[in-house]
Amino acid sequence: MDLRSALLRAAVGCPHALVVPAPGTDRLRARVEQELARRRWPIASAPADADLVVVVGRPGRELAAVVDDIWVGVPAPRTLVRIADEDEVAAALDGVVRRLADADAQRAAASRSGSRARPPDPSPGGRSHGDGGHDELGPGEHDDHSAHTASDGGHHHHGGGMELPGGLAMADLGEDRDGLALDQLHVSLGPVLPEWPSGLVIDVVLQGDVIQEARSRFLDLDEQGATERLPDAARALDTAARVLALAGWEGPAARARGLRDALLSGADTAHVPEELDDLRRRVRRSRLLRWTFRSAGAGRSEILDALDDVLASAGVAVAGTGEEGHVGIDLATLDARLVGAQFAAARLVVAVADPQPRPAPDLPTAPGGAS
Amino acid sequence: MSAAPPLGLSILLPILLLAVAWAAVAADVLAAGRAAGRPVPWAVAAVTPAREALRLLVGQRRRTVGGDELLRGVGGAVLPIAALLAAAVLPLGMRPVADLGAGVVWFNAMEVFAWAAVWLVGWGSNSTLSLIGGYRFVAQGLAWELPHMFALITAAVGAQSLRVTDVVAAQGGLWFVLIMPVAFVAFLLSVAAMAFWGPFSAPVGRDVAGGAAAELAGVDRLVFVAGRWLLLVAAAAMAVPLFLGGGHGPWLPAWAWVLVKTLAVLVALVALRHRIPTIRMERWTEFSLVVLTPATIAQALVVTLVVLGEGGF
Repeated sequence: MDLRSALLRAAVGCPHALVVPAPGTDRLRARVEQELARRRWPIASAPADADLVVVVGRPGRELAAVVDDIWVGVPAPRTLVRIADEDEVAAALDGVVRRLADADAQRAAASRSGSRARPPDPSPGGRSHGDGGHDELGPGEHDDHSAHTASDGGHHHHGGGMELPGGLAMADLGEDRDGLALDQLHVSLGPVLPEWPSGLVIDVVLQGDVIQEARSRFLDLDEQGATERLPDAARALDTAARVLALAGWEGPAARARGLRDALLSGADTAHVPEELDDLRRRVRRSRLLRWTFRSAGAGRSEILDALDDVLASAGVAVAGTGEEGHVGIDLATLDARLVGAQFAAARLVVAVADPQPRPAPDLPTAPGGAS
Repeated sequence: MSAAPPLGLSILLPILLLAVAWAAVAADVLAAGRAAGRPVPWAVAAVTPAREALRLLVGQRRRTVGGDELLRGVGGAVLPIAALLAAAVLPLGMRPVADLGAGVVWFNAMEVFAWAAVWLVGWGSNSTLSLIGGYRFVAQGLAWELPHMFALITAAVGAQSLRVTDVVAAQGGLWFVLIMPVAFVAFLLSVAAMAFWGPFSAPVGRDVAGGAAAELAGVDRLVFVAGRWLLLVAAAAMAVPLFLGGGHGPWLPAWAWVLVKTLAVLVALVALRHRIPTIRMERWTEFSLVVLTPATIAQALVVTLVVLGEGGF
């Protein structure tokens, strides 16, 4: 039995963490990400890939429902951590490996969740788990929703009334940009997607991977407490890191995040301006990045210009000369920009725009330089 | 055709593939750490593949509502099997497991299974993001397959044989990479593309939350991810007999040369991967069809003319 527990400990020694931030908790989320990076715990891209769910801040009613939803899709061994304060971060993550390696507790929880995935009656949202074909659930398997991150439940369904046995909706038909009748899929993007603004949900109509309609909103706006904003420089670096990560350029993305963390912790910032310049130069000089961004739905290399502006504003903010940094855009503008964009382009548009729950009303809606 | 495949080699092949894949993953972890400015110690990188595999073995499997379990399972299993079968024609030293008369075609046919595999996994998961990942790969596949085939054909024309051992034998004097550099570059690009890896990882990209693999957990994910690395290793190893002289080389025995050259190709791919972002598939499709395909056709033409001039065929 000793070998087994040793193996189990080795298996869960480096858990993948899915971070679910409440809206307006950017600072705390950055702190959590920094701690995860220090421990070399990878950030999971989806619930299926996660061992650990970190709920950052105090989620409101809507986000709490999302967390419950996601939790069903996280494979055991798994654990959930709620962090509401910066002082708790390290302590909360310290206990994770021990809990994951606790085979008895994990097994008990796993079988319970297995049965939980088959509710006695269909839920009102139109999703019921477990049709007849899924009755042979073994102890090691459980049913859950398809996409947690792009959840098909809830408010889709403007048209057809067909339902699949799983409680999912059929796609509608609609005209695409070339006038062909193609399937339309109503999906909600967010709030738990990699490199996605905290608490943002965008209800989109997809045809293929082209967005036909988009309506974005923030969860729990009514219950939201005081938002803690990142300082301008850190925020710009956070935005840049997300754009770079979405572009699949993980090295520079991690470096941007490292600079953000250095600024936030305020420990040793002497090297920051130089490294920031270096990063900006690399981004600007990368022909491949320019080439690959060029066809972005938002226009020719507009994303790259916006990214460059973001990095420039970070430089200005670090130097402390400028008074106004990178300002997010309002949601209506964002929606308009998303229409007609392909999925990959839309993700970049959202990341570079980086909308905030409550844009300051007195500031002009200057999008991150993209125009 | 040789007789029955040698038993020893058949057993050795999967072990070798896994070992090289292990080394490639570890190198990737090291390179990623360096690119991120957060270096990973050698010892940590070396055990990372085993630890991740263990993590996925321990992890629970999961299903999706309305998902097609059969298709998804078949798709996942096809990846490592295709990699293994493709590697069957790889000369380990001077002898492959199966010295097929049409080895080059066999290799190509096995890789194309990856198309079906990724698409089936993306489709079978019944999730929007998985589906997007799945068709990204199909679009990408259309783009890499043409230059890839012309690159393979060029090597076969140079050796005037579809048998992989003949291709190696033809490089006793001069490696094909020197005669047909364009085909070699196109082949290397398509190696990364067929394993949807590095700059071609859009089908499992971060923007689609893992894409085709977004809904995979536990052993399903392990098989998928391992299959992808095995595919990369098998395809990268194929560059050695086709373009880099196979087991030919001074001092060392043939098997050592094959190993050294394979690792060199993989190290080059891994090092390159962390210097560049992911290429969006629509850009890649354009480049591949407008630039790379004509270039590889021209390359094949030049090599053919040279072979004809030397009195071949």
